[in-house]
Amino acid sequence: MKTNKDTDLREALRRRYANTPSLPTDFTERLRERMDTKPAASHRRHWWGWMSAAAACLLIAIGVGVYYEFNKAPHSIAKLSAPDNKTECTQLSNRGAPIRQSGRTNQAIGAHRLSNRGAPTKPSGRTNRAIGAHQSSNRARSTEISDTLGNGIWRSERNVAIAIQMLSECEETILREEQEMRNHIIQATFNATPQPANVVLVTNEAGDYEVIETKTIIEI
Amino acid sequence: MKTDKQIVDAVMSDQRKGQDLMVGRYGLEVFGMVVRLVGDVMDAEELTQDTFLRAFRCMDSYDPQRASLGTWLCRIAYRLTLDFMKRRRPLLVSIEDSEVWQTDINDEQLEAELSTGNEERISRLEELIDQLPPDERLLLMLHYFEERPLDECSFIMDASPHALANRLYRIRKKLHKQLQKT
Repeated sequence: MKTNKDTDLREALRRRYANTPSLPTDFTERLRERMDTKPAASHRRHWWGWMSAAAACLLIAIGVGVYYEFNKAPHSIAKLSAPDNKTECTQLSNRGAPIRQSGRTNQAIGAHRLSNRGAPTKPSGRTNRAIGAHQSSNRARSTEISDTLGNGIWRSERNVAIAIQMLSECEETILREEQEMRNHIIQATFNATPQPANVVLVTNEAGDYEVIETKTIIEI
Repeated sequence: MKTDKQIVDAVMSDQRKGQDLMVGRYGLEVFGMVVRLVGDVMDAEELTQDTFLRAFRCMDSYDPQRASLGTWLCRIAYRLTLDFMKRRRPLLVSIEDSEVWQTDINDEQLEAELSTGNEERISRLEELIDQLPPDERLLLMLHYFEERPLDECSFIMDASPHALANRLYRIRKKLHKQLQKT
């Protein structure tokens, strides 16, 4: 090491630090006092610090987990059930024929209630809501399925898709069978009773039988 | 005169006697370094005590192959002092680094500039040293005042000798730049 290097700097340092105060005379005694008292206290504080930090992290993790658990499921359902809902709305809007409420509906799908009850020309309030507002129908349907199958059903998107598909198929089958039965009764009644000459049995747009009276033919 | 190994053995076997021996041998060296850094005797005493308390607790981790006992204690003291100073107030930075690197001067020129013997420049340097951040001040102190080799400084400050040599060059450039300004 060169001692003749940077002499100004060395001199400045020497002047600045030459008069260093000496170690206090009671230094060893005070050190001894601290040795007898400090280690245990500092160790305890250290331990508690880590424990409280770990507890805080755990609480945050649980909080985040719960938040996601409660927010994730409804969001994914809304996305998933959107295409199915369109199909359902189309089906509902096509139903013009009078259909009576069937006990089999409830038997087949439990608490899930179909919305197409009432007169053919006046769909029920629930049908209107289903056609008009897709979002509210989604929510209502989700709630009904949750009530029937429990909240756990929403944890798997595949389960939800299968459940919605099954409901749609059940609904379709029931409607078709009811229509066939009703048409059969109308036709049998029509054939069994004497009818005026201007009365005929026809099928309307929805596929239901209707008895109509024809107008007088104007002869030219 | 007992060697470092004997002192360490004394601390390990007969705690109280060994500890007294160690404090008696290295107390002033550690205290001197700390008090020059913090500038306050009470704080320096507290930090020196912390240094010895930690050293007694971690005596097992001392490796005589790597450094002398005094250097090892200085290393502990340096870390504790830096932590203390960070808690107490933000580190001072006297000159921007960009300004320093813009100065185009080689090592020989710098050496000549800092070796004039001019009384006014020496006084000004004293003031400038006080404005340096603690780690830079310590490096100057260890290397120029206590005449410790860079290897020893690197152990105390936990940096490579090459990095410390670069840092020394930068500090000198910084001081030179400030001297030019006045």
